Amino acid sequence: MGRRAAAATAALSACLWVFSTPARGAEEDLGFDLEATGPEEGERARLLRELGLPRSFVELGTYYQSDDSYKFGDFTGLDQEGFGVLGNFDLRRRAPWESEDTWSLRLSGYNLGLDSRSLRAEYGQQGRFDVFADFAQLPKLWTDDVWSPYRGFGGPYLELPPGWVASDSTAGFLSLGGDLRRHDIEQLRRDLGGGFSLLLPFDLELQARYNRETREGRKLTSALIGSSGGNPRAAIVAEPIDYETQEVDALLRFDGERGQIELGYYLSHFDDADESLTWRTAFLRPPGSGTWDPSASFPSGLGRKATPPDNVFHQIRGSGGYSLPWWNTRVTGGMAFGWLRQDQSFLPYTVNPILAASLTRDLPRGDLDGKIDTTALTLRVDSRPLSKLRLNGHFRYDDRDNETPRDVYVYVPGDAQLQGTLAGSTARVNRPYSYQLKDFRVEAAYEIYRRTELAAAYRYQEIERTFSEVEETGEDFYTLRLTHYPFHWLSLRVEGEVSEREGSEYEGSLPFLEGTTRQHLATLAPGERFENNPELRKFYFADRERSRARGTLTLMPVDWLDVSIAVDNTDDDYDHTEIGLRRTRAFSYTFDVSITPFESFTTHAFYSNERFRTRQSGHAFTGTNAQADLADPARRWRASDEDDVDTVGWGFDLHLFEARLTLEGDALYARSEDEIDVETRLVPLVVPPGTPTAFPTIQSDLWAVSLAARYRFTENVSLRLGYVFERLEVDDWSVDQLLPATLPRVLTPGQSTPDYDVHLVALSFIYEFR
Amino acid sequence: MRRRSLARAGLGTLVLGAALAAWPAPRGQADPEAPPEVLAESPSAGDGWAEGGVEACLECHDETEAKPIGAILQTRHATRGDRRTPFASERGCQSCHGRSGAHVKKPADGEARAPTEIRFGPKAPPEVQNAPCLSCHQGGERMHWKGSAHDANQVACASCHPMHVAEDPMLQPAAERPETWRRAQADACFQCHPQQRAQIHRISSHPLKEGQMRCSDCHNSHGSMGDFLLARQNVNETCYGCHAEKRGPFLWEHAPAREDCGICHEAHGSNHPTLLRTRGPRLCQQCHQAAFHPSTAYTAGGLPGPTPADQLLLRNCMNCHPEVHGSNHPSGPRFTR
Repeated sequence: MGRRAAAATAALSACLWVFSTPARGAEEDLGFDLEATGPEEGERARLLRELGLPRSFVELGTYYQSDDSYKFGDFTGLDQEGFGVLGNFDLRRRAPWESEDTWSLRLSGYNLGLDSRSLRAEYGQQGRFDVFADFAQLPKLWTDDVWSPYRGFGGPYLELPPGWVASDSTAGFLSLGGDLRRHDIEQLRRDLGGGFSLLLPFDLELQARYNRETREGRKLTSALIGSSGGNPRAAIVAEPIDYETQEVDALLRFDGERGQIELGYYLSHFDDADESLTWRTAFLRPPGSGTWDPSASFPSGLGRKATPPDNVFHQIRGSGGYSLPWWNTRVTGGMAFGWLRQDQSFLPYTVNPILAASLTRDLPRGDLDGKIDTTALTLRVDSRPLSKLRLNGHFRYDDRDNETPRDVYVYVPGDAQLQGTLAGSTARVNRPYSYQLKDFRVEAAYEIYRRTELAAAYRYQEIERTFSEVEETGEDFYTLRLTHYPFHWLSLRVEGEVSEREGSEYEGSLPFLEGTTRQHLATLAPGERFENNPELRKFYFADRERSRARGTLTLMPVDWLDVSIAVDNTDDDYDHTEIGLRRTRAFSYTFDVSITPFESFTTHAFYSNERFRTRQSGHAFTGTNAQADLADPARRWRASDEDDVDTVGWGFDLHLFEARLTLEGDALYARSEDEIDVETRLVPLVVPPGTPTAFPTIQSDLWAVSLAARYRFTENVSLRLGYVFERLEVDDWSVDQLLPATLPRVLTPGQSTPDYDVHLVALSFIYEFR
Repeated sequence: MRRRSLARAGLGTLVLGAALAAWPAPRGQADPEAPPEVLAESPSAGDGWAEGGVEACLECHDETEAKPIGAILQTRHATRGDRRTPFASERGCQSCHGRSGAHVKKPADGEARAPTEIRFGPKAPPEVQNAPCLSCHQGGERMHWKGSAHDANQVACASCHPMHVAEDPMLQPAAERPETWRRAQADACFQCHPQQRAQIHRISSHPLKEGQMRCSDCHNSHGSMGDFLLARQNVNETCYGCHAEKRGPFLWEHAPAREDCGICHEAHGSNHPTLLRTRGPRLCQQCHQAAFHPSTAYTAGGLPGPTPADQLLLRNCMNCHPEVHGSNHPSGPRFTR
């Protein structure tokens, strides 16, 4: 840290010296055609030129953070107690605005002392070309409070420590306490890129950009052995992240007076340096689990899962617009054709050598040869045939043609079972989903009174899906909107929309039938050929009635007072759904006020409340007694989630002593509560004492205060003092009280909720100059 | 192999750009050897234009005003050598504000000063304010402006883009003011989108409140080909820009993930981990009601106590099924691999 700070200081000092030197030849470059007929005229010319000189600044300082906190440091890198370096700069030079030269140079950097640092360099001759290069980092800090007995945590191979005591339940991990080690889960993105734009003859412009992003770190995942039937055993572990994404984006533009057109190419290549995560199971074979092969048990049992495969996406796109010479009409459109490919070599069915040796069916192919071709088209016409009438039509087409080959895979469940046969339930056929959307919208808006417009719109959206329970859905939307701006101090906007979605026949078994071999289907009675409850309706294409209403009222009764109220309500009723999501409602209202009693003081405050409600139904049934269970009404259950969020904010800006002293601050309090309720008549005959009967509220409270004071000693030198306070308190029963051995079948990491209480004070000197 | 090829392509792009810098200057850049080009007839008092260029306006609108305007001279709009810019012509400020001949004249006693031909701010119709901007900025990211959501809702360019400042806050890089985490661009959007302002403060969110992302990283507020003013063709393509590892295609696809990330996630912020709209197992059980554990009711009895349920606690369904975005493992049809 010390060497880096010294190097950064030296580099900045050098830049400071370079950039603070007055531009040579400024007098000779003066193209300002104002003859200096006297001292007054010359002074005016000098002031005019100075107005166009950009200001640069360099800020160096330090900060002190009172406590460690991963959550506070998420996305910023402010995760550690102690002192740190504060460094920002923005160095700008350009040719005098009134001269014939158009060059400009800019070097900027922010958060130099943190893992969220960014740097950028730009140079250009406006009207001719621009080039730039940039670098940025973004830390993602999940938690530093993860516990695991695995060695090699965060790498591609996880091993248990010597002397590990295995069991079929976490309660039997007798050596767990001594074997646990603490780890953190974090990632760091680094982006490095650059590009240029170049003006060409004939109103053409060429732009291109290249970016390389690396992401390194780890994320939590599950290391599972076994399959269904109550025998799976899992451990929450870390999966390595070593990703690289390279992007190229090039564009050729033509900007004419009436017509504009552009043609572009986009390439994104994703590469994962790891192909898998392998681990040794910590568990013994569960008693009575006939399907677990003995080799899957500790100490020989190994598991392996795949990490994200490399992929590449190419896209050619074009768009254009033309303003027709009548009715203020403009036509715009675009098209994009993409190709997504993935052909990473498959891992074998199992990493377990005993199970691998017993395979009777090989993989049908060495890699997926995954292909999705995308087509996007859009066309919009906007016209004003009368001065008070505006018409708009918009068509959008989005097609994803998944041409990935289909094959039969007789898989090995959870590295724990012998491979089955084509007639078994482990013989599966992959389903490469395709999707096609057509969306058509027309709107007419008429100015019924001075600056009062009434608009009506109709929209129809049709979606076709393959391998889906519903082949096609169609949704009609009807919208009415009123915008009313009669005076500059009053604006009102109210909009109402209703929509109804209906689909083709719901074939609940279709995905199961398409994903299973005919040999396996032949072993099932006709009444058994389904997977999900036949009454289930998946919400994202189920029949639905939606209504939405929103409005905003803004008042500025006097110049220094601005008040606004906004309300938004969306109601979704899945009217034909008996099992699945049945109803959602999202309601919010916000109250904003902004006051500027005098030029040097502005204050604002807001309050918002959001409520999100869901209602869903389910029906518990077993595979061994499916028909009887499905007919038993006592097995029906209902669940509801109710999220409430209140957010209050306040801020101010104050300038004193002829703006030598600037004070600014923000304060925010956000409280969220999640109430869950699940009702069922199917309760155990015997309820052990101490069994909870109701879900506690999941609650989080965030307090955030930030204050900054800046005193300008001279035109060039300022001192800035900043203070940040944040407190987060979270009560989350899904994490709290969860020790590594709380769940018998899952070894959990024992993490806790991210409560924190952090103060941060920053002091910096700022040097500004032209 | 592919990494090296792409790195070469990227480096080649930059080298090409530098090489093309030697390209002869197009019409936007004046040849310093040539006599000054007269880009527009000098305004004359007879046609309503004010004479004297920017200096005439600055006679009154100087830096002592409560809202000084001179900072515009630091911007790309004020680059006389680029003939495309407003200040390249003698019209200067009038390039945007229209004829101001009457405005510069001293009014008669008791009379108010005549306004400029084009005024900006809440008192002026948006289409009138936007016309000068669109006369130059109709291509590129503004190509789909007309008829877009903001245009239809009568948003003026000047509602978001102040011109008389040294740098447009809508274009400022994220983390401009790190110690107060001011988010210049986002704060402008939140004036009309207060719901999103509250959402970014939820326990799970994109790094907007930290100033590490901007709204324009996902949205093109000027209009776009996609829905929701997204910068790319659809939701998933926009998400893949930062989350390319989710792009697949995978051997075993999760249908809602392939179709639309927004089916499960709320991108602006959520009370639930990883931006989920609802927690598992209930989110998953909205689509999965198979025999045994997928259709079981997970009541409070599964909380930590005598009978904790691994389908309810911590990562719930993902305690065993982590690969919900899709799996490329041959033994992964249940997303356990």
